[in-house]
Amino acid sequence: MGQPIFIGHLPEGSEFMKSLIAKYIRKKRLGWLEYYLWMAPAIILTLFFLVIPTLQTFGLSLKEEVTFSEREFSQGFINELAVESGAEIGRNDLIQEVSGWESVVNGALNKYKVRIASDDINEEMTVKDTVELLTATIYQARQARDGGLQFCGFKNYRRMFKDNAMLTAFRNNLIWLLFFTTLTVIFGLLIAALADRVKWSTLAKTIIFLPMAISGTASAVIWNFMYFKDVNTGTVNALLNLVYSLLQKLNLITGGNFEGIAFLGRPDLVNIALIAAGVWMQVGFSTVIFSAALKSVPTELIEMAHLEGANSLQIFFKIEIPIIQSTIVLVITQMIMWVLKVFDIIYTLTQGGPFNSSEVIANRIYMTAFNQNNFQYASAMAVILFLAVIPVLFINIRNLAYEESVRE
Amino acid sequence: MRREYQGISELPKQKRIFLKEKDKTSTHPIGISLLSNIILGLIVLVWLTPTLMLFISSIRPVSDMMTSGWWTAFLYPSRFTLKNYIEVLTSKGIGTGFINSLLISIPATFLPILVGALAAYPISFYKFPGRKLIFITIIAMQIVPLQTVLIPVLMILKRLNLNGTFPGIWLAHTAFGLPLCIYLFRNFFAQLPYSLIEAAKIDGANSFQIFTILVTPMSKPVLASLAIFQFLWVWNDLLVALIILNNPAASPLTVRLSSLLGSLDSGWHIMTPAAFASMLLPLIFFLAFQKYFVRGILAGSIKG
Repeated sequence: MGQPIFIGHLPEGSEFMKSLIAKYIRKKRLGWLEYYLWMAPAIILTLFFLVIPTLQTFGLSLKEEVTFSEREFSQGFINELAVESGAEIGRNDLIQEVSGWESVVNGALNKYKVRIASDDINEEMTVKDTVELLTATIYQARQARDGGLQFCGFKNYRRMFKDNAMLTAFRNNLIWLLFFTTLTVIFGLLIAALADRVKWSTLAKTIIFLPMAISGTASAVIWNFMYFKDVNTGTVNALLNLVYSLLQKLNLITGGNFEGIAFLGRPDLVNIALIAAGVWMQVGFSTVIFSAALKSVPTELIEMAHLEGANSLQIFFKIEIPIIQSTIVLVITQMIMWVLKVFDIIYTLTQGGPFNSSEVIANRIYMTAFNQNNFQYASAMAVILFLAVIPVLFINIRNLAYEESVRE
Repeated sequence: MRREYQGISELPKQKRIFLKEKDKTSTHPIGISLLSNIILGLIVLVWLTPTLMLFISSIRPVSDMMTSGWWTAFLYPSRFTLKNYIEVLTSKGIGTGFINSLLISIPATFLPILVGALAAYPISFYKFPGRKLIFITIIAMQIVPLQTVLIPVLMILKRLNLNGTFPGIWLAHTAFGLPLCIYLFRNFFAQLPYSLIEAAKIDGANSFQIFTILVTPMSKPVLASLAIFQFLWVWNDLLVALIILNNPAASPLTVRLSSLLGSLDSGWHIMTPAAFASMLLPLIFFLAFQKYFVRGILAGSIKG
């Protein structure tokens, strides 16, 4: 590989090194150094965009912004001046006319570990001016020292359990976990099994897979339209209306006309409505995997059971499902990962509303970091998200280690 | 014969997937049934409806769209119009968004594949200290939720003066796409005939020659899988663009679409063609390369 470039990059005067490396290259003995050059871009990118940021997020989650209240500081400063001089002090008094002002200023400087030049406080400055100068100095020093952050232990984590929006997000992620995972697995299995039994399976699967190519944002546009409250334009409500009027005609229900349901505006329905959209997007994934797994079930086994008189349903539940058990577990873990990170569709469709009722962790992280500018609190949430995927990480590494051992 | 596709759980056998041709005619041994046809037909209809609704709505006049259902449009086929598309592409920043999406997606698809192939090559064909550690570390990063890394990544890019720029988001997408790329390359390289490479070595080819002349041309299937995966992922991404590309002039389609929907000031005659236009390229690629997309999913768990 590009050895000349490598040599050219060595500093001047290292002739000995150059000749040494040239010798190695001639002998094709660059060895593992060369392999590290191949991997260098990948290693650097992984290190700086994945490994280090993960650690930094952990660090950031244990910090908070330094709380420095200018009002409290100025009140305390004036009180101390009053004590020191034994007189009533006003904000507009000249600072140097107050007896003992120097020791109060020095006390403040020592307390906050900052310094100012000796002539920064001149005879024309009032108490107010001095307070302003000191606060500005203290604030700047803090920013420079550690980005205005201080260690706060697990405060950000404890805060989550008192934060109603965050608690709703935890609850909603659990609702998603339960319903979304169940529905994608059941639909995936059903579609894969049915596709096996028709002649147009390629077409059917293409249509089922299609939403996987559609962005969460475009899906949000689609489902916003689908869920229109108006029974004339909203597809879902139009269908419900059809059923409703049919039941009315059969005298099964009485009452006025169907008004349409605002799926995305009702706290009790919004999560189910979003989950339905999510299932529509992701079922293709589980179908792909189940379809392949079902094809791997030995034909002889199925034919034998068939000869023994087992029907299609029995074969599916008693033979095929048990054989592809591990694939089902795999799909479940993949769906859990998807659920934990679900963001696009919620951010675009409801922004977590109405009244925070559709919040999820990923949306809370985004909102906290970029709407409220609280990176530390958002980092703590991100760490929780990371901890939630750790079990999956272990399963994957174990699989990988197993695979490597098989290969060698 | 029935196919021998394997689930991801049976990793060691997966490598066959890339080389197996698709057997389109195979059906269940018990055979087809009428009930299956009916149920699957209904499911497929349900799954197709949302996309169809968007498309039909996008070519209807504004006045019709808000007063009657899209399903009534078939009664008046002469009223279909492309006016909405013309309006959307010339105003509302959707045309620019489309170009931005392309400018982001093309390098962000190419780079991780290149960097991933370069790294997977020595990992797969040579033995050296630290090989396994590096491989496992990079692959493990596939699991890390993007939300966990995005805030520090933004800070790093700020320090490099790359936040809000295309190179910044290219780098970020390259890093985030690497674990999957390296994993799939590793899987694929493992099934290449090693004797060929040995022969090339004996003939005096160096590792760079082996990579460019021998390995790359043989890797077309995995390159196709990765290209379609990475392209769909980057083109459809909202989160990374929202955070890393915090620059309205450079924002891609997804970000523009999302803010259009949020602001609600533009009507649905703007929203529907904008959304469908944003889906067009992914849908075409998806339909053209579906085979490779499916193989990619089977060969490695998809990233999220």
